[in-house]
Amino acid sequence: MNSKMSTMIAFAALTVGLASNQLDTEAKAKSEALMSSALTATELIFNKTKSGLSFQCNFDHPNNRKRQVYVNISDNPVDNVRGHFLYTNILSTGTEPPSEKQLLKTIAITKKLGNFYVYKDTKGTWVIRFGAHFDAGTFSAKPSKNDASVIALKDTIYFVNQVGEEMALELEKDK
Amino acid sequence: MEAQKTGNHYHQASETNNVLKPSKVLILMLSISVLAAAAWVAAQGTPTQTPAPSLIDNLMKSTKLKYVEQKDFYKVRYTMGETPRKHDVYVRMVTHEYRTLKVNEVFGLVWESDKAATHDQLITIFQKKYKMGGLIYELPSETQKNYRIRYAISLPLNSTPEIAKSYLNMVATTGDQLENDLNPGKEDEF
Repeated sequence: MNSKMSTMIAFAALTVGLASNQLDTEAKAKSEALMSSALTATELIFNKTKSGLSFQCNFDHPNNRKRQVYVNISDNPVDNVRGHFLYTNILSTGTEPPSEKQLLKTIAITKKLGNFYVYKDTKGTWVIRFGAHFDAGTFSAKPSKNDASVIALKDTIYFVNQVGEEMALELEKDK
Repeated sequence: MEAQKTGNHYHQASETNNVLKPSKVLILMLSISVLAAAAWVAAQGTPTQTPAPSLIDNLMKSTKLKYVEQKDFYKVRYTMGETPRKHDVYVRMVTHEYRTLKVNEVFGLVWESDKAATHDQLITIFQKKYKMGGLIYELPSETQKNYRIRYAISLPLNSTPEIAKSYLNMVATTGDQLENDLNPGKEDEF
């Protein structure tokens, strides 16, 4: 292969790479804008997290307890399903992973939707979380309050909030 | 949502000790004949009543997938591309509801053992995240004696047939991959 050909192939690869990145950026921006307008339509109060990876919905609970439900800004398309992940932190166990008892109280429980899992953040802190997916493919181009998909999003957020709070209270009993 | 039941109600006639007069007997016999004839005619044109199909039943039919009904589940058998591997995907017949949400669990088994998974195994396995769905650890119960892990997704009941198929496909492909990962060197089981 001569050098001119190599340069052309390299340029073509770079162009494809740039185009792909641009498409990714555009897709992410579209995904974020759609979820943002759907969340606005739910009339829930939310903000973007500092990391910029999620939208955060805050909930108040009795005894001055607070709970956050995070909605991932980016979707994860598979086939024609565009799943956004929603989650809430249940219990932080510090630098030690959750105990077997804590694990079995969560991962062995079946909820109507969603599931429990374990997460270790970049600082080495372990957390038990509960999360569920929501398909953004169900939204109309301009989501509005009475859309079935907007109500379903709101109900999914409520569900994650409720399960998260109930399970957090349950696990805190054992502390 | 459960199928609506359209069972008939039967009323047992009360017994009496009254003695019937011949004229009344004749009228009664004629009435019975007319009623019996009417019932026979009606029965010829009336299909047998059966429970109305549930929404999940309608959705499963609309996917055009081949499936069998097994206890409380629809079971769809997938063969994985050109490989001899297969994966069974189960759709729970019962619909779970929360506020406006109506979902049916779609799942595949990915691990099974008569021994409990170790703490380390559980920590490793339950750190994995998926584009859709997640894992549930099953302890032995009255209905099954082993420890199991299933990969599950909640299928919205109002999904289109294409979306429903996508959910089932995801469970088949991710489930089979997980089965392969979690059971190294083992025969294809699920």
